[in-house]
Amino acid sequence: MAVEPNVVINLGAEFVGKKAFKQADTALTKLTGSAKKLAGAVGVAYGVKAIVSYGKAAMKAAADDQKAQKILASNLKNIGLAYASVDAESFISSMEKQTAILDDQLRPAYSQLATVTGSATKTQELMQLAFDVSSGSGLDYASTVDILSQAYIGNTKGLKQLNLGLTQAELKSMDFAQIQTKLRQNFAGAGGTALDTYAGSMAKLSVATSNASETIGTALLDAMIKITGSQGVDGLISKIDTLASAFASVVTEVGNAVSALTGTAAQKAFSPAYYVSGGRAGGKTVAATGAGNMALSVLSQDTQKSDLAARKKAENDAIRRNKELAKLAREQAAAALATTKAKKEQAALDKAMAAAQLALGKGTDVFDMEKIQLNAALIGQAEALGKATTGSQILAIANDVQRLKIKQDILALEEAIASKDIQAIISATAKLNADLKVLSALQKQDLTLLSIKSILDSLMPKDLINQKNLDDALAKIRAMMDLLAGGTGKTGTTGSSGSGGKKDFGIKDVTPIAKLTGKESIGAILEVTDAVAVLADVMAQIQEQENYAQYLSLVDFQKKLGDFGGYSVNMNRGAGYGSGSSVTVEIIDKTSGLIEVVQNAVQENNRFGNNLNFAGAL
Amino acid sequence: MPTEVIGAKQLSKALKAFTPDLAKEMRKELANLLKPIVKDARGFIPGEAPLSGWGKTSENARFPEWDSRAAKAGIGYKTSPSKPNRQGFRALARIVNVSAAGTIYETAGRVHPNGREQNPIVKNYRYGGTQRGSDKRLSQSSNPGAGNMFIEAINQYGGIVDASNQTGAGRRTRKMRGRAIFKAWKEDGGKTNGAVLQAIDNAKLRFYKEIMKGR
Repeated sequence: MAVEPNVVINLGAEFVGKKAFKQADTALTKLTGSAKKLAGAVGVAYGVKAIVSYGKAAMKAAADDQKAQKILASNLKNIGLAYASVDAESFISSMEKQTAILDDQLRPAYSQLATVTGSATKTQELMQLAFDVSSGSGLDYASTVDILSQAYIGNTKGLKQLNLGLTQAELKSMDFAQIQTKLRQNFAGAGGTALDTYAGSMAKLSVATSNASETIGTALLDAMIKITGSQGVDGLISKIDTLASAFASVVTEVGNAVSALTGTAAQKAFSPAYYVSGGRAGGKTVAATGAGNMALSVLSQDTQKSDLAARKKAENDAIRRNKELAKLAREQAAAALATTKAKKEQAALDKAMAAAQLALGKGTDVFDMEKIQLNAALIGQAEALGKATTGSQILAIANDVQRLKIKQDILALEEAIASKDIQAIISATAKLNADLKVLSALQKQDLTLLSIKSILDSLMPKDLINQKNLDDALAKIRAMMDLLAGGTGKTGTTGSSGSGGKKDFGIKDVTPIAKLTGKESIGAILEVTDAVAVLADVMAQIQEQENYAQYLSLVDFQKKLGDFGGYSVNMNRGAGYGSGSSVTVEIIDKTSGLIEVVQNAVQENNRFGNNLNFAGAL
Repeated sequence: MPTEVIGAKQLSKALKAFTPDLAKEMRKELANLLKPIVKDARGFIPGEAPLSGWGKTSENARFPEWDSRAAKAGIGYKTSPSKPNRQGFRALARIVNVSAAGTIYETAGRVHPNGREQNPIVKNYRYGGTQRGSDKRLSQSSNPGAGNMFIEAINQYGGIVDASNQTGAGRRTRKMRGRAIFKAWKEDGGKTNGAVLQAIDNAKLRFYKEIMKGR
């Protein structure tokens, strides 16, 4: 399909008319054609065709109407209102004329309301009310009747559609009599007003047409408009009431149709006096068959008596049922009121409980000793933090504070779990985890610091270069030299020099060896030599014991070093460095190196000073 | 008030049915009347791309590539009556500009002489982040002055001419403005429109004469 270009210059325009005009023209043409055909049909074929159509439509309408009447009568009989059948038909007919509502709608409505109310009087009253309500509310008549019938038995839900200005609770608390009064107040005169409008007039026309259609058929009515020269439907309205005479004139004009129509049921139906007193139709007297004026024969008197009794019974039953329904409605209203009151009380109680819980929670916070202690501890730690001077102190305080925080977190989590507040549990758990991470980081830092301290301590060579130890060692050497030289030393003394002092090794009252003069006997020399040898042995043994003790201490130290992560006994055997721990090793070996010094001194003496003397062995 | 012709369609049908030669002559006469305007209009189309980048081929570009030959060929005329518009009028003859690039050259800046407003940056709800709005009435370019620059570049070859005060069919609207066919139409001064109407009227008279002769 070619698309019309947007950029275009049009030359020479021709008005061909809008599409709507064309449609209207087409419709008008068709209408004209139809009218011509109708005129042709009326003028030519009406004599046969229209009469046949009329007969069919009339018979069908009559059959439908009769069927509806019988159904209503059957329904009324089933609910014990058989006596009201005739009265119901009369009422429906009258109402149909007054309200322009077709009997097709009125009969089911009557049946429905009669079933609910059980009273013909009440039914008719409600049907009239329903007409006003439907006109005022805009709802259709059947829906309105349905709402009213439901409301009669206490179901007021549908009344909301009628916009009565009442809440559902208010509607529930009202009985039907009150609702009826309210409806009358709200919709008084609405039906009459509606009928006075154009739409109402059209509805009346529709009802009249429908009634006419029931008997003579819509097709014939259309034909009559043409034939009688009426100016459309409006012109025909004025002729509806005198349709019988109009029909007679039609019959006269169409010739043979007159004889076919005279005296039919349809003609009877169109007689204005049909429902009143029998009346006349088509110049022929019709027997009185209407409901309004029955002859009082003996049989009919008996019937009327029985009807009266039935009416009384039905009315009494209806009144009783109405009272029961009213009582039920009152009970329901009371129950609803009680429920509402209970709900209000419960709501107030819940509110108060919530406030109390809140207050209690606050009170618990106030008097919770654990929390108080934690808070006090935190405050104390904060004060200590202000006084801390070293990093380790700050670190320790930070650790303590963190632990307190974790304690608080645990308490908060317990409370959250107790309250079953999932959100609070999640947040408390998250806070606890975060604080635990902080604590872990702080502890690792502490461990690191301690480890550094231990390593530094272990690295300090204080045992080897300690001045006191050195002095002690030199003093010992000096004493030994003196002893070996046998001169200046003071044997058996316990003189001290420094903190260590001289050791006497347990040898007392030994005469120092004087310088050899060459006069000494060999035996004496040997004796002295033996004595020195014994002394050396004793010293050696003592020293060995001391060294063994030191060795044990050293092994213990090494073990601890191995645990700490430093040196271990087995480290050179494939064990490597230890895994490390936070153990602090502080061993001061004050005699470390003494053995070597003594041995060296003895060896020196042996080598250079007195090679004749046996210095012993270590 | 534009001149209206009544029964042109029927005349055309009648010419075809009863005097085919006359129908051909009428279409030929109309074509001869419209050709000068088309020729002038084609002359207003630039021989090169108004913007240097417009004439470059791009596989991904959605903007119609400029082609001077196609733009000129897109300008033409039609002598067959159009379909009636919503107001119920049908045009008996038309001058059209149908090529995409030619239409852009014809109308760019007709509604927004300084270029369209830039689409605002909006939130991308599907993928997150932001993107430029997709309102077709607004500019999609990231350059806020893109539209204005484009129009200014085109205006160097010829500005928009308002032909709405010239005679012709249809309403006098802002759509009767452009750089090629409307400029030619403006310069024609309504002579062609009158000649077309006269030609149709002449054809009608000749048709009647032919019919009368036939009887």
